[in-house]
Amino acid sequence: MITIIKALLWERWKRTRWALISGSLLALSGQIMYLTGYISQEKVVPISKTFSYLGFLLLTIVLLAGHCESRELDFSFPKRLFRYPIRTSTLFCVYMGYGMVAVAIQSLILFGFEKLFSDQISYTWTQLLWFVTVYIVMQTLSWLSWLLRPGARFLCLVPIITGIYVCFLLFFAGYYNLSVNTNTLFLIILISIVISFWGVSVHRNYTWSSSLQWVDSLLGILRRKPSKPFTSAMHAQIWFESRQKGHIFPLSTLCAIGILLILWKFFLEKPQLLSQAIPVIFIITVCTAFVSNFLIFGLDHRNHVSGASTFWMRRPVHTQSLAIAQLYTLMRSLLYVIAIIMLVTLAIVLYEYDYFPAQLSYTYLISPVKWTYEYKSTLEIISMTIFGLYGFFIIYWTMLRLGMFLSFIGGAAFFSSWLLTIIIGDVASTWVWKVLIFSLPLVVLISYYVAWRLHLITTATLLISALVFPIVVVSLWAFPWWFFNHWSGKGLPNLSLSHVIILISAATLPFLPVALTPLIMNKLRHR
Amino acid sequence: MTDSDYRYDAQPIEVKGLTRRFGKKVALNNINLTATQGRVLGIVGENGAGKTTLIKHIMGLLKAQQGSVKVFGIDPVKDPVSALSKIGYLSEDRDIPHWMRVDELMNYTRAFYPDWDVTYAEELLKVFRLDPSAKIKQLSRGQKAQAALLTALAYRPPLLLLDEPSSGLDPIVRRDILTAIIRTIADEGRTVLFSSHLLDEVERVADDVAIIHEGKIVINDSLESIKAKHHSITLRFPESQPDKPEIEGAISIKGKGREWTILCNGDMDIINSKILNMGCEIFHDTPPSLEDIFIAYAGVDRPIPKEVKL
Repeated sequence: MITIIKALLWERWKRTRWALISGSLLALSGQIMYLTGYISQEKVVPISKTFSYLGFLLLTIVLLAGHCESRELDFSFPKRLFRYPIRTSTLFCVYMGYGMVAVAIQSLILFGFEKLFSDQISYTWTQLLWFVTVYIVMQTLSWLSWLLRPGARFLCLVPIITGIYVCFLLFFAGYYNLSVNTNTLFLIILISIVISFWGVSVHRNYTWSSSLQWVDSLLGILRRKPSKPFTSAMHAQIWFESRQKGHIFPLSTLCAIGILLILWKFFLEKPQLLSQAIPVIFIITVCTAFVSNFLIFGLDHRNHVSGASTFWMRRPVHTQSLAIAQLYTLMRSLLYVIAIIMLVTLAIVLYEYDYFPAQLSYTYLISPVKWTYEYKSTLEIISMTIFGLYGFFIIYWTMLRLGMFLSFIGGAAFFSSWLLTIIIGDVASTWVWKVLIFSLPLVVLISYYVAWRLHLITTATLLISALVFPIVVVSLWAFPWWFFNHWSGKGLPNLSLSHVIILISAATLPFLPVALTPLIMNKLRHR
Repeated sequence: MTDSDYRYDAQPIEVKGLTRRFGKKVALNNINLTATQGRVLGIVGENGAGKTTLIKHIMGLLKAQQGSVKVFGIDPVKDPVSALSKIGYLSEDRDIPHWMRVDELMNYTRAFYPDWDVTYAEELLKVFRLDPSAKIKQLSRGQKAQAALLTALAYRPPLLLLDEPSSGLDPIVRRDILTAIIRTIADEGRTVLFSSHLLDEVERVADDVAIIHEGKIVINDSLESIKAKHHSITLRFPESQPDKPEIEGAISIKGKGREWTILCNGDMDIINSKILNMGCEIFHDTPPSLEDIFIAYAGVDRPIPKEVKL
């Protein structure tokens, strides 16, 4: 029996680990940002709010873990072990275990052991337990729903779930005397669970679909029209890439921003939104990009395991075209994200504007421009604003595209540097950083050269990249210039030689994928 | 090399001295193989023998560590576009994205092959009884195989690579449809290479057979020639033999006591004279099936469990 449970736990972990890691990172980054907000205001962190926040994030993680990786049971661990009673009870324990461990570790780190069982905390523990319990009950029903026929399943389960939800809500609201507005949170949970049932019902073999697939399935119903032939192979490949991965990043961003805004609505006053929400939304998209990369990597990994990774490799097209399709899809995906951010930012500005229009305009728009006009020429201001905005987009774009890659490289560099500092001293540590920074342009140059020699990029791409590079360097320099002048009212200090080298090194980053993507794809295609 | 370099006189598949290692494991060991135009080549081998690895090399998905692979005279790694445009491939894993619908899969694949035959694709769709609006994930394993087979056939490729095509297919589709399709393709002058565990199917469909054992090709000949060269003989010794008798040219020896059955390869007259010199008589002489030959080559060093609990 122990062996079976161990096997099931192992299988569960293997199948959900990426979703869990991603969810945990999302939770952690959100939590850090949340706490930083309070610390910057020099306020004491209210424990109850923190735990409500943790509870909600935990629920998000559990939902992610439950749905992102829990499909295709037939392909996993030996099927004969998956008898429902054992499976269900094991999964109960695992979910409960995840929740308990996650909350316990975070609580211990944040508050220490003695504060862990105070009245305030026990209130939140209860709250959290309710969340987890209701989720588990609903999830169990979703597993058991395969016993019913599709029509009966829908007719029986929707009222049952709604009933459970309403009871839970009434109890919760009555016991803790919650305001009506808080119910919005639960409504979101309810909707997601109803969709989850629908997702289960549409799949044969009783497999689950991921949260993102639900949306995809829902959209699929709306657009269920006969597929039309493609005009070209490239068009077909772009369509394939977009459908395969293109929706993950924009949807993840929407979800992350949605959660963030809901939280802000409860925890922040209206005038604080503009000053705090907008910068954090920009940061959270980078974090979401990080998580999305994990999810995309997870999908690729699963495809690789099931052999689906060879599907695109055996199309009779150049690797260059495959890479262009992938980069094009990614760029389109990132553009959607930026469009979402812009719309949300605009909405927040409009939302706040009716409160403090005059003050806002003066503080954020009139004052810096007025100050800058006194010291700078119009041409300089206009050109540097354009370049500065472009620089901002390049930085943001690079962070979105290469966030995970940079985190790993940065982490490795930091660790090596720290290790060398202990072993040899500061000098070696500084050298590690210098070598890394100075070698980046070299890596990019070599990648371009190798890709060009292997006919993976054209001469035109090579020349265009060389022409665009100086513009990127100027823009990256213009961004801090513009930022400092407009927002802080202080001039930018002069750049030293090492700063110029760092600037040039950083400017090569956005160019890296252009050469590296076809190189990697070529390597994957002909192992 | 471009498409214009496509040599119509070149062999559809030409593998010379191909060796592939995965870490310490030698997956393919000095493989030499040629597929002749208009013939069906069956690749037979036990699990992990290297069949799929060989097919992946022909597709260019794996790069030869040693030796060379040519498809119609084209190196599939150096010029994947020209090589892949001439290959129809059905993978063992039926690796088609689950989110696609059948009609989307057809349209997607069609975009890459200018020779896509719409009428033939529609015919196959009807033969396989596939719903064009069904999602791949909603299909059974056999239906997935049929959808994948459809996309591999519809552009009438000059070379068809089928990796375990029968896996997941029901007996009717397997026997009547798959066999008919493969034979039609060969009769049209195109070439088929397929790997299979089902030896009766190989025997029924293939013109040539290659048996792979532990990464090496142990037999590569026409089916007729293989069957003509191999003999299954039951020998009767005057006295009971405590140990397996040493018989030159024997690939496998089974039996006990006085009666031993050997499977041997070579000229029957020479074998007969050797056997008579040993002082035993030929009790029974039957032509071996492909299964007997395969087991003799592949199963000879595999231990058989003494007791299997069910």
